[in-house]
Amino acid sequence: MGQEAERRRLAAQAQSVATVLLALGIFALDVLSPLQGAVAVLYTTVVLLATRAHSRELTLSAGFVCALLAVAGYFISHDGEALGSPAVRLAVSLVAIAITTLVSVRHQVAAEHRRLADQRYRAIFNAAGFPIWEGDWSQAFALLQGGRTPDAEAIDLAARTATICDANNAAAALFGLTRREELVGGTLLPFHTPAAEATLGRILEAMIAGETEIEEETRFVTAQGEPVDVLLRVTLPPQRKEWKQVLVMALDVTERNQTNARLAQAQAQLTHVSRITTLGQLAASIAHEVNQPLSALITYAKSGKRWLAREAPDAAEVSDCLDHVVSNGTRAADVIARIRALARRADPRQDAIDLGSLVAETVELLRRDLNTHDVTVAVTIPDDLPPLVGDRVQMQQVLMNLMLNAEQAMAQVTPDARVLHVDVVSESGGVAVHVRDSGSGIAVEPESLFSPFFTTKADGMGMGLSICRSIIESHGGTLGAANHPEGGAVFSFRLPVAGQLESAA
Amino acid sequence: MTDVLETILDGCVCVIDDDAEIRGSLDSLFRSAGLAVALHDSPEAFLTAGPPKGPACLVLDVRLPGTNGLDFQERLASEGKDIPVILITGHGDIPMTVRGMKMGAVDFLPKPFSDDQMLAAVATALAKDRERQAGAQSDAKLKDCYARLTPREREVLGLVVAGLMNKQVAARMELSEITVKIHRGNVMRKMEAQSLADLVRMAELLGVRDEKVQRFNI
Repeated sequence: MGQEAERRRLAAQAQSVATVLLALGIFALDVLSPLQGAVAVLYTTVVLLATRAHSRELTLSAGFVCALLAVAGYFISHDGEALGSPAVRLAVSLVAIAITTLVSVRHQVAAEHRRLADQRYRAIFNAAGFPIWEGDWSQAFALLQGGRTPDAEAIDLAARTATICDANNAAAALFGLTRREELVGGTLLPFHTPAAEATLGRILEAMIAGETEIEEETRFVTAQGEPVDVLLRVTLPPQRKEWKQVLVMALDVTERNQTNARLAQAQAQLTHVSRITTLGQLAASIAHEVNQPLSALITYAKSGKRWLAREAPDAAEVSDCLDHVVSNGTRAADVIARIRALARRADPRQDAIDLGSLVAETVELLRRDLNTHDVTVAVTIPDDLPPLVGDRVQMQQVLMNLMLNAEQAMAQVTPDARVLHVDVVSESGGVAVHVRDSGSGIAVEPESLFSPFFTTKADGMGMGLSICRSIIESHGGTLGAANHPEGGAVFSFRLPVAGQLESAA
Repeated sequence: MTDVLETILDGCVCVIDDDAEIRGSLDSLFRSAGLAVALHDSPEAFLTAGPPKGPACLVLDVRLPGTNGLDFQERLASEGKDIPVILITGHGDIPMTVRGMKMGAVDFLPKPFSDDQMLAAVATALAKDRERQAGAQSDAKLKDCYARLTPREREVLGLVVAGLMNKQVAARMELSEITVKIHRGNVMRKMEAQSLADLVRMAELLGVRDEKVQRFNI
């Protein structure tokens, strides 16, 4: 670095000396030669040389000195003469020197501004806390310019030829490198993942389409092999054509994504726990539900044996018994399958849901429990329900929760007045379900029911409704509560139909 | 366990259960043992159908929609419809069992029950009912006989079964001993008693012994 400065200083000195010598040479030529031309115009070269020193003052003084020399030359050669063509030549020369000086000065000011701006840009570029790099994508541009769609081959080529012209330290850190020099001059190929390839394809497509700012989320691997999730912002500076300088900014969202994933996992676990708790409430009626067909099955089997063991075995009776053994075995298995589906722990799925049949099935599941609590159920389901998309088990969990809440809300009411209304309504763009009880209604602000750990039950966890709401919201719907004008509380949720959910997602 | 299969049972079993499959399976089981069966899905249906002829018993589910089998058992007992009851339930607990048995249930069987247990319980219940019906018959006959006695003869009967001698009876009734003997003969004949001991047993059943009278403390 020191040598460089020294050399530069020496070059500048040499240049100054040359400039002064040139000025003196022109002066000598002007005074001594018999030339009749406007030799003083040559002083402009001195001014131009002086501008190379990047100093406004120096350029101005050079112009001033040159003008003085030209005037001095005139007086030495033509002193005392009447004003004639030499005077005109002097005037032309002076004008030329003045214009050259002014233009040079203005140019210098502009150059100075540009240099400062560039410095500022570099400073920001290097000091930015987030990764930035500049890439030269000109080869990809050359390939895709001819209207070619970015296929796998083109993407591969783009990935291999998009060299990094510059990068800041944060960019190096993002890719697990210690110095930015390790990144500059190379490509991102060693850090690519299949996801990154696909993202590159989308970015190229957007750039071909003329977009200048593109945002994409993708995943790279660091030099250490760790996956890193980034949000990329690709900017094509307007004056840089042919993708010679593509600016890429990245935001490391790995941690955010991991946090989100952990949150989603915790949510799923909580949902599952809540579902198991709900099933626990139903344990007695579920046990009965399974025990009943098993009892029938065993008795049919035993009586079949008896019919066989009679003096005159009755084949028709035995066959009838066996039929019932099968049907009751199936009935028990069906109950278990229903429960197992509810108890299973799985990631949320995207099933096609027929809400009508789901409501009917859930009512059946709770039928015995509702009977035990003397609750009459009135269900209305229209025929022409649009299909929904979502997690069937979670949806059933919401229905179960709301119905069981309604059942418990009516515990203080006389058995005859315990009516549970479940109404499925087709609405524009969605389906609404209203679960209404004939209890005493909601005494508090209805919205507070949905806050976590809010409960009115002695043994309640206070998570049921909060979880229900998050399930419904994750399906793009809403869940609310209100008091019904005819008494009792009504819980309603609305879900968008399949097509709308996809467009919303 | 005695093999009930060998002894083909005689009688009618009424079943009250809301589950059609449970009813059906019991129907098949009881018919395979040669029993007549009447199936009902609710207590109301059972009451509407009325009691079956001959020895009968009731297999009653404890958990019924809208009502409780134990409550119904209590109601039957209070109305004097003393048909032997076998309770069945999917989830019996001790208080439930105690209540059922105290109210005279023949047995309390948890579902699923073994066929042998069920048939044994039914056999016991039917035997009990047969006995009850036989007992009811002889009671009625005894009352008929007693109705045929004259007031005097009834008075003599009360004193004789209290252990008084003819002489003492005659003294109390201010009759001659001969007259007492005639009355006593009529009583023995009308009551179809073979001996004084027989007469005493009948008087006990009818509750006509004169409690105020004692042989040695006149």
